[in-house]
Amino acid sequence: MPKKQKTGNDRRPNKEFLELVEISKSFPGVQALDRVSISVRQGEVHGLVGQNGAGKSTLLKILTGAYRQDSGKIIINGEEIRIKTPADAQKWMYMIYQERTLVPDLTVAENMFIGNWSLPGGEKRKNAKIVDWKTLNTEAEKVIKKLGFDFDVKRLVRDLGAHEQQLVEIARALAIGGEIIIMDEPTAALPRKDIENLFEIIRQLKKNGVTVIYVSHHLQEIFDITDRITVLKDGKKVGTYETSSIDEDQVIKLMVGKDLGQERKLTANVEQKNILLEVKDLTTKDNILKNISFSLAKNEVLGIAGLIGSGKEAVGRTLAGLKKIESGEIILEGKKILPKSPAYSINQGIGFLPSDRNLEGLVLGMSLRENVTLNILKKISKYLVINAPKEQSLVNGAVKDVNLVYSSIEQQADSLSGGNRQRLLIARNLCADSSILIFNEPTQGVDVGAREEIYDLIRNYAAFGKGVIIASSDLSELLKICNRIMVMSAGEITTTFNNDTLTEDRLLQELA
Amino acid sequence: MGKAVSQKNKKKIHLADFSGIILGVLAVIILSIANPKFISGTNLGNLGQQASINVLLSLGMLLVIVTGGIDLSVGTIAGFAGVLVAGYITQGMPVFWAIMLVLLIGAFLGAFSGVMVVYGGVAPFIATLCMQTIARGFTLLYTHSRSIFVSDETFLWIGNAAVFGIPIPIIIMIVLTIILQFVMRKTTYGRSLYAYGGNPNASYLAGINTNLVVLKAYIYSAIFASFAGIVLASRMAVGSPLVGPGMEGNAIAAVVIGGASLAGGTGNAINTLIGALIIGSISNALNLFGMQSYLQKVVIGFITLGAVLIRSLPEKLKKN
Repeated sequence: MPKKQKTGNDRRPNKEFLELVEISKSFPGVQALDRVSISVRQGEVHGLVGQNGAGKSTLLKILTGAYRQDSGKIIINGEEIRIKTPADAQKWMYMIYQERTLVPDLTVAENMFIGNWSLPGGEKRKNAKIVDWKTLNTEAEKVIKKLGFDFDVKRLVRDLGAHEQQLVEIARALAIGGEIIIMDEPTAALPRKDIENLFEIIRQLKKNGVTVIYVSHHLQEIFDITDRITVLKDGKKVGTYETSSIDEDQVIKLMVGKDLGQERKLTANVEQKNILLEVKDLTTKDNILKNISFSLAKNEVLGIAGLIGSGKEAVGRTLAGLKKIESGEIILEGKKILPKSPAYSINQGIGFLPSDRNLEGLVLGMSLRENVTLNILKKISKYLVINAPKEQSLVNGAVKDVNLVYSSIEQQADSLSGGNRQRLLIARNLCADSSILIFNEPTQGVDVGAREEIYDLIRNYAAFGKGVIIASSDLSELLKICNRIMVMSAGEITTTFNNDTLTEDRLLQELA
Repeated sequence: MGKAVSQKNKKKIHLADFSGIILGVLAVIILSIANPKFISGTNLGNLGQQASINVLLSLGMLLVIVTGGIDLSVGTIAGFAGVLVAGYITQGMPVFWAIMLVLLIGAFLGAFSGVMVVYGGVAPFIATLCMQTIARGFTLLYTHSRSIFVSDETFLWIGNAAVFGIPIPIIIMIVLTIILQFVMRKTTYGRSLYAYGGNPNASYLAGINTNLVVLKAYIYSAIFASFAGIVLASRMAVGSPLVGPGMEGNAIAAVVIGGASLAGGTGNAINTLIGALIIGSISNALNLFGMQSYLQKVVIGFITLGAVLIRSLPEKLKKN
């Protein structure tokens, strides 16, 4: 298991500690990183910002050993290092993910030294087979104290709050000698009040000489805690700036692509008089949605923008019958409805396409045909027996309408590419004759080439008197096809824009 | 990505599905060459009758396995059904109603297991393991550990008579296999069953009543098991409290040799029938060789393992 390898004893603060030199990485069809060079100083908090697709996650994956760069070097404290596996990366860098990676049924101390049980004993206990619990617990306590906290390391992780668990993960990094800690959207799962606690921990890390790379979409946080900011755009580094010498608006301008104003082809405003769907004061039992109200007109494509945790995906899931509703009204085509299950919502004419197609959308082991008719089994059967010719003709029609690329309708769904899988799901909803389509992340996992076609399908669908709601983290996508865009934050709708003169940086500003 | 991959996908799946059957058929061919008595009409008739019980158990088991679960109670439910039907008939109940009542009771036991799994969140392994013990207990209680002999002609006809020279148990097993194949391939229930086994989340999202799909699988499994117990009691002319424990093993083996994955989502009735016949044939052939039944168990264990390995090993190696 990983270990503390000091690369030299020259640790002056403000010295370039981690250097990425001309890192490039490409995937079929896309250059994810293009000669990116970043240098990070020892003991600084270095912010990394960029839109979706800018290359942030690819960069992080290279740093943590999940990917290998096509070209370029990684240098730590003057020496080039080769990261071939995640274990290699862990000699230097430790990543704190959005999801916790702790074992709930073990104690704090046990989690901190997981896989490194003999570490607390030092050299003399290096090959010991028996764990020295006393030393383990004492060492664990020491690390927690270093971060400015004090609690019982013998507590089970499952009994800790979200913020405390995050602290344990950070402490683990420190305990096994991590010199660089990368935090990816660390506040996504934290309640507002704990964010300041996190910042305190980061300041303590700085005091201990640890370097922090902070990745976030929340620009406000970046400005609160980082020393310098690196902006990525379209796989290239735009620049590295002292946080104190730049402001939010400037960063947004640097992050954003070309102005898409010219490219938009739709009429900006849709008559709000043919209302298809009305949502009034909707609150979900788990409180993810708080009193939201909006309406959707016929022929309209309504976008929902928001950061992680904003609730943008919950809107669709609630309308689809996947979330329990606490209070509020939903009126579809003049009729009050209460989505209590997917079967109910489908019956009412609501079509939902989840963001994770493979997990919740398609049955990958079944044929294309069977996937298309999965939600309309009653429609294609008589007395419980499936009418094969009827099924066949419905499927053929729908599959043609979406321009699905396939060799046989009987082939397995897992043989399809991402874009075709989405098309298959759209075909399913066409067969079901839904009056509303709701997409969560419509082009996630769809390569750039296929995206335009999906947008065309969506536009065509809306043109037939239907309504579409799209929740997406891709702002340019929303700007391309939506008539209006709602911005959500912390379960509420903060603003609704008409998409006539809206620009990407204005939208980003609203989100930050 | 693209065409090349999709072709490869198609081919690979086909092979894995039939690997167990290919292996088994090979074994059977080898055994029949080694001992020609195997192919004789009388022997095949015996073989069919003996295997029919396992076929019935396996068909029910198939449904549960397609949902990704397992039913460890089929053996003892069959045993319970056997003694119950024997008891009712010797007490004077008309054969038809006795059978109906026993099937109903079996359905109830299956429903109980199903409710535990679906609404109680109990793992299928545990829920049906407990039912296995419960049914066993009921069997011993009901019979006071004594066998119940049946002499009713109508009842004995089921397990011992023949129509057009074909023994009734063989007719039953073939008819039920065909019916189940139809249900699984051509009805909304069957489609929902495979969908659930393939991806429970996606099925739920597509509006399928997943709770009902799973519950029904356990009910049907218990009904098939009860029917198996009834046929067996008829064949042996006795409701014996010794019958039951252990029978689920061969049922699971048959389903697996027939190509179904224990993870759910695949498998069909006809292949399961073939799987059960393969097991039956091997037992039968080994009998003709004079091999002890205990050793036969070892052989069948290895063959079942082989059938599963052919499927799982390539996947595992690919991961590395």
